[in-house]
Amino acid sequence: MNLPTTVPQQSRGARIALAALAVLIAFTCTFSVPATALALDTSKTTAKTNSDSGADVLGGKETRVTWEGQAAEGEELSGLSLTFPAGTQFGVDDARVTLLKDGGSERVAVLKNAKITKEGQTIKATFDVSSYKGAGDFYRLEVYEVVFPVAGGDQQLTGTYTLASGQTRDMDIPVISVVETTLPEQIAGAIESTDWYKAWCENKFLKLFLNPALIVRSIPVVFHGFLMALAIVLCAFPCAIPLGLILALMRMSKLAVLRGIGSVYVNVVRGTPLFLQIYVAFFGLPLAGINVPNFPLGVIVLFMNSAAYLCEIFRAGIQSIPKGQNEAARSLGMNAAQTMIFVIIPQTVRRVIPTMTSEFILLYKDTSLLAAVGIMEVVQYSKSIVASTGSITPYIVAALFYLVITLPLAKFVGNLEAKLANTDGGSAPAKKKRANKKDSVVANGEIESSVAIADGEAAMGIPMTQKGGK
Amino acid sequence: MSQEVETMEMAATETPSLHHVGKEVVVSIQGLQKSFGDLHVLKGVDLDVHRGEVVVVLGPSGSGKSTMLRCINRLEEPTGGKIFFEGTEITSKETDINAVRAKLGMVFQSFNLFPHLTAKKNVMLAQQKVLKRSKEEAERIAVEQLTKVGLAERVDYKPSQLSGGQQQRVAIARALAMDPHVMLFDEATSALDPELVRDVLGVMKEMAKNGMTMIVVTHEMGFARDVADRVVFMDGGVIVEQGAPEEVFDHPKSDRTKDFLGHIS
Repeated sequence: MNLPTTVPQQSRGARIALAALAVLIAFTCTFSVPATALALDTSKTTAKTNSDSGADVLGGKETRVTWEGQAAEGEELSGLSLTFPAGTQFGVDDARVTLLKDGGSERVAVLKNAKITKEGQTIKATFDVSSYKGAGDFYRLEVYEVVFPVAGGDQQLTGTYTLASGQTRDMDIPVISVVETTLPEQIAGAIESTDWYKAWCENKFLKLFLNPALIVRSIPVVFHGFLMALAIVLCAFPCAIPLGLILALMRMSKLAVLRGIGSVYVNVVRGTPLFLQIYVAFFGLPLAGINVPNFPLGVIVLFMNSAAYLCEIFRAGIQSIPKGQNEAARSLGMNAAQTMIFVIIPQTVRRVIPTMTSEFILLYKDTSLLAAVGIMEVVQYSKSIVASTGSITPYIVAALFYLVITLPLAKFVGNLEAKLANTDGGSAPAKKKRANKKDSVVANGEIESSVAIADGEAAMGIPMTQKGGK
Repeated sequence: MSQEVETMEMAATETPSLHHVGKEVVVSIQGLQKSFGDLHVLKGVDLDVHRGEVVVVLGPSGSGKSTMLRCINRLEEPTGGKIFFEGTEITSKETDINAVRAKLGMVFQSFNLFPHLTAKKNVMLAQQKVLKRSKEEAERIAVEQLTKVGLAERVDYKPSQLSGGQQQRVAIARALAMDPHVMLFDEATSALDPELVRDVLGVMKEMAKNGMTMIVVTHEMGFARDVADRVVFMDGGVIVEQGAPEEVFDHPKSDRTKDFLGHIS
């Protein structure tokens, strides 16, 4: 379809050269070797695309190579050969030669009498077109089961043609660009060629949700989204910690104004869905003339949201420190700030690490909501594959990319809680653990609610690319 | 109970009573009142404590003795009356209470060591933050104080690795490292197993002998009889009776004192 543009250029160049040669011939009467080059022009030599994107020829995967040539007027061919570079495999069983006319636009016949053989890396076809005399002058050779080397690169084929007169000449063949086949693509290809894969895909459910070849293909793509989600959460969470702490201190302040501000912020942020907050930020700010790039804006929305939850975690943590700790520090003459910084907060950190980790898990999962405004994270990448393949499998891959972070962290939280329960020594009364328990129950409740939000978002089918297209 | 009696007898034979009591009034409590909402805990307490004096405050639970002690360094804000420390009215709003507290060491029933810090760091923290001592100096003093309370071997232990008695001695070292002028003890031995009480009381006696001004709220009758220069008996938010230990213990004037001492022994 897209002819190599170099071919016409080459032939044009050849013609100019020939014109010059014709003059030379008149004077020198030398052999007419260059003139016979006109006996055949290679129109194209192409390999059929075999990639999912439909644009590339991949190595290590079956393709079909098509050679086409235009014979000069009055010339007939009796043989063709193509030599593939070392490392390329091909089959001869299905190879065929076709005779066409009018520059290949109309088929005259498939040459059934063509004898096709394989000699090393060379495929040879000999045939007789005398019965079609004058009917066609355009030849096509198709070679099936061609597998280029996995590593790819430019593949230079060579070839010869034999005229009816018995003269054999070399032909010019443009290179075929072969793209390296990535490991996942190789694996996916290998899976697809197995029998059990075919049996597997006969089950509609398995094919739709757990297509193994698609799993393998999706992983490297969704991995980009995984990195994005990690980048977002690793930027947002460290910002959320100091803001959460400031909010917690505000909420425990003696000043009613600070308490009020802290409490309004925390209650509004916790009382509204993150999804809504994302929409307000991503669609509202541009309208107000404030244009923040997607990534920092996503980070800002998430950290401001998370800070409200962390505030309550910190507040519960600080308030769970026995009053005696404060009294002891103050009785030694330490002021309120020193007491907070050197006595209360260091102890709080230990106690809130489990709940903070839970909050981190929540935040990591909440990055998925940013798909709604076109940020290329896990869900958005998997959605693009879902759209092009019609399989749900990429979403399952997305799930794996969430679980790979959340499961180990959840385990870590569990271990830490068990450890804390054992070593909660010093002067801490048993009362405190209860507060923590209650807190983690709340956190669990939130995990479920945020999953519900994400589901709702996917089901709503909102124009997702609105922001991303900007 | 038998353990307590034993301690009492031992104490009686070990240490000679009474220290050098100066004329200077270090802590002066005048008409102190404290209410928690409707609950009137202190109903006008007057008490002067002199330099070098050991005052032991006795009384039944709820008599207000701990509250009085906690008012002295304003861990509780008095609702009435005045308290002077070395001539400064600490109940005044203008007083830098942190500076005053640094000179008023306090030891709590529940130790209140900082559990995230080693014994040594517990003792160093306020020295560095409040007295602005260098790390080296704070460390030197911490080790010195911990050695004095018999914990030279335990300086790098976390509170959770120490017994109750050891923890309380770290707490005492922590207070002493601030070079306090007065030490307040709020039932310092009540949370300890009987066999650990002796170590802590030993340290306290040593302090008294060295001339520390001490206000001690306790149930340890033996300690009171043995170490106190003056015993104060409180009940119902007022001081009912006070005097030398043998006076109060052996010839109590008030019926409530008699009743209380009768119940105790």
